[in-house]
Amino acid sequence: MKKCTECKVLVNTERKTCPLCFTLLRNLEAQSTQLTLYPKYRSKTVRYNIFFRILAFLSIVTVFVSVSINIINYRENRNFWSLIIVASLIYLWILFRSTIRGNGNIPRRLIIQMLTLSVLLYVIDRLSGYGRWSLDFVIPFLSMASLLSIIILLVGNTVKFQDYVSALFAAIIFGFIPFILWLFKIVSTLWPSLSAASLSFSTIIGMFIFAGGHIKEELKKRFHI
Amino acid sequence: MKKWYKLDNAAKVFPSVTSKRRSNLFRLSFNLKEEVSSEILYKALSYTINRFPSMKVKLKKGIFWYYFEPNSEQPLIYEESPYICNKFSFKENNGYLFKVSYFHNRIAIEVFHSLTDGAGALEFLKALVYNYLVMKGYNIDSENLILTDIENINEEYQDSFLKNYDKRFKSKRYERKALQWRGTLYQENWLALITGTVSVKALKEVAHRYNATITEFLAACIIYSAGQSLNLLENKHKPFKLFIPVDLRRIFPSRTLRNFSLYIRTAVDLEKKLSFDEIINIVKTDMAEELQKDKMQARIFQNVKIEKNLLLRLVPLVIKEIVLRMGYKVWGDNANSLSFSNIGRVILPEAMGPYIDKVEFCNGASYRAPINLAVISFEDKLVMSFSGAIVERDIQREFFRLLSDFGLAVLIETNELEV
Repeated sequence: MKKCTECKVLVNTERKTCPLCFTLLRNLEAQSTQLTLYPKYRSKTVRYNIFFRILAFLSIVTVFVSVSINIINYRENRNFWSLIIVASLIYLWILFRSTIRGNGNIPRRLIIQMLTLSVLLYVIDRLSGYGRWSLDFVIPFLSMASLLSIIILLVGNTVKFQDYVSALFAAIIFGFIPFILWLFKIVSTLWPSLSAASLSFSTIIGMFIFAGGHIKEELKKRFHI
Repeated sequence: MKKWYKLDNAAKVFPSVTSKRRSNLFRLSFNLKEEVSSEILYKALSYTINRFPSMKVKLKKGIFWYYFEPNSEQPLIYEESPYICNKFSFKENNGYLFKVSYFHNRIAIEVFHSLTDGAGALEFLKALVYNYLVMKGYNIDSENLILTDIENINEEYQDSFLKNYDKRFKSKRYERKALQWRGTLYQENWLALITGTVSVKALKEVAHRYNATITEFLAACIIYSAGQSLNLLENKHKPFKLFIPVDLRRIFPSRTLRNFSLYIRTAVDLEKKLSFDEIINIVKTDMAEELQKDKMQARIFQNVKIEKNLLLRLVPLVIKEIVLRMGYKVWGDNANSLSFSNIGRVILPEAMGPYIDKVEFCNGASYRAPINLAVISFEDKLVMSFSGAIVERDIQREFFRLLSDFGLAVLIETNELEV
């Protein structure tokens, strides 16, 4: 136990000076001191991830260089090929930051992965002749794959329903998009789009039959005003 | 327990205006007379949490409002961090909005204010410490004072603000701006804690000399000390306003474990250089005037009215958040200079007393209201905790010097070592 003669207070501390007025404390031998009252100060550790910094630096330089070359050579081959590089790099970053190291739940990461992959493949398709294979086949199959995986995850762990339901809804809505594009004659092959739409539709029906009450509850709380 | 519920009236604003600099956390701790065992504490926590459905929740974002949902995970315990009341990630904390930690003899809980207020959190911590001691093998009679031994009732998670919403009490309120602090903020959101312990009996005696309660007396002491440290304050022509939270459970019948507190303010013009007697008289009149059931009812009406506005309810949460955040930045603490909350006496079963040294309470600080005082007492030990986000500590010094001038023996402790 120590004493500050200026403030006239007892101070229980390891400090040499008074925490109030910073004058030197006098030791009182009589009373015992209880030390380590609080954990010792330590600086917050700032994570400095050299790998990601190098990767970020290289990605930006790559984008800059490839776009520049693309612009210079644009007259010779009228093609925005550098967009493929840009899209691939964005995809790579999302793969790293969201899908692998992200902190969302698995269905949400799956949805983000599926969306970015669809965009990437669409860009590649568009810039390499636009054979429409991305819209005709890739996107419907991707949406079906993600919807099916979410359903399997859900059946395996029904407790997580309330956490997974927003991703499930997103996957269902996404499943209808190829079919809607077909209606507007943007997609030419019907069967993959129609299968994706039917899967979405049957999922909705199944959801209401097996978990109608839960769905109503979920909607109520998410939309309460 | 309901499947989900809305945030109460006071809780609604906090999730949107929380940042590293304004954590909206407060902390309660029990100092035992022996080293805390982390295994038993974990067991006690896992057991206690089931009795408190209103604490066993996670915060979720809806389209229009936040809401609480039952949490199926187990709450975690931590070894105490040197950073007090620092914002933490709910996600990394298994979704829980509170954090239980231990350090040598201490069991502490840091609670996000949306969850509950000081009184609600105290009930939880009391039960946790009680269960800890029982699991440790001590024979303690709970005397009906510990909630784990009482069946839980619906009323405990009622939003008592809504319950006491009464259209007959209308009022308009306008707040003058208050004096603000000027100081050097600590790096890394460090919070300097300076606690002073005094004897309740001695303090009561001194307060009675002025015919005041302990709260009134301490409030006057703070205002007087602020007058002594004017160099730290800006816009000296504005009044110094003390923000004093009030536990409404003492005024309205309610057993809720969620937020049910409001606040009163007392304002003093520091430039007038009033004497201590004059200040304590102003505080006493302000308190007597503000602390009336009718006035509080009117304030509840005012706050709940905003929440009931249909137009406002229909604004998507994303936009609500942006507006709230900006508004808070501009006006948030304009009307407060310093917050002073007194939880009062902690009542524990008699058999628990010998195991507990003292109880402490402290509030987080923000950049706009960088110094706060929180008071709690157990048996004869009253602990006043100043939490400071700024390096300067003139007001703390003046405050404790004033108390010792009144003849009180003050014991100072701090979480800070010399730089």
